[in-house]
Amino acid sequence: MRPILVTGGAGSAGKLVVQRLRQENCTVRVFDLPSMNYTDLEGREGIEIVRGDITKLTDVYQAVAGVSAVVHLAALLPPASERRRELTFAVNVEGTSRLAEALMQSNPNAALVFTSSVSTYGNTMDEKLPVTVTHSQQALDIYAESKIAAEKSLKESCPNAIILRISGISVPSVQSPPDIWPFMADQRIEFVHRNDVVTAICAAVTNEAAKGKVFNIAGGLTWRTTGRAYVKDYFDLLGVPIEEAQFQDEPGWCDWYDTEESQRVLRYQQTSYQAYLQQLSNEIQQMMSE
Amino acid sequence: MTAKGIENSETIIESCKLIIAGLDSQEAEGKEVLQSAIDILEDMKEKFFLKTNLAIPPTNACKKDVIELQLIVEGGDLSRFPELIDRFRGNMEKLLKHAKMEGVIIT
Repeated sequence: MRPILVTGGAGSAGKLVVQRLRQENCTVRVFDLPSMNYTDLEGREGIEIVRGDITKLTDVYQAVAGVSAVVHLAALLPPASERRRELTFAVNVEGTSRLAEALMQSNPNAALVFTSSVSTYGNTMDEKLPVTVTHSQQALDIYAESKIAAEKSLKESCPNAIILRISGISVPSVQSPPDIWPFMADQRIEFVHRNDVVTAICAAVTNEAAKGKVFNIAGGLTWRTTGRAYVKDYFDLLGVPIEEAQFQDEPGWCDWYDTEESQRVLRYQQTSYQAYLQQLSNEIQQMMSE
Repeated sequence: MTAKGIENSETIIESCKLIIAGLDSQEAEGKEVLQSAIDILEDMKEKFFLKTNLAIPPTNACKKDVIELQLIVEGGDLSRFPELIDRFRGNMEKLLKHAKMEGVIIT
């Protein structure tokens, strides 16, 4: 069986994707930087490791050789992306172009799932709801700018690329909030459960109907809320007054999204917002009892 | 209103200071543990974790330990000091483990 390549496969999201693909009996090739931690991956049946750098052409060609499909997660994310524009473009844009070029040479029919972001839409506060994939893109930061450029490159060079514009990801574990939440208190937000993102990615790479398409990946109707309500739910679980939260004065990139097509094709919205809150509550109860 | 976790931390810091002052040159290793707890809690005071309900059980446990330590130091019988300082160290480690909250992921 030819492996599915997962770039960035040793990162936190990457490991979850690798694990899920293995559960679906796919063989996987992980491509990531040599400095990453491979302890959960190395020596495991059905997992092959290629250590390298996506900015190096020879490494990319070695990673792509003989694969059946690609899940491209490797990227420089905020806040690091905002400090290093040149490196962000080298990894997020040129790295993506190289990967597509290598794949087109070795297996032009293979699917390439590219993880982009809804942040590429920019400020959509005054737009008609919900935001569709045909909405114009306007970057508010370097990260979004790099994702827009990478999407453009893929659309021109890789007809089987599947672009997933992923919303903010909610992880069901207790985490420190940012000093200032990246949205206004009354702004519309629709995040998505981490496990559902993994489901969407894995569904996209194995689904012929997804090839060549652009999808919004967000939580669905139960996740549609406002910034203040979302933070209040989290703070209530932790017993912290909502007055402690600080929100942006200017709109961020968050909004509600049209996910009708992505859900129809990928069937990934499996965790409601209420179920996410219950998972968080369970996690907190567990921590309180330790 | 001050969060219970912050209130507990302030009590622990004050107690640790009093215990260190009361020990003079005795129990050097124990004094290091107490000083380290002061430094950690001073550093943690502005962190979100101490504002949450999650901080209440571990800070309650640490507070109970230092109050006991303070009583035996004030009483002058240090025979239980090593046992209590070990328990306090263990509870401080639990507090630190709980306080290790990773950053929010926003793509």
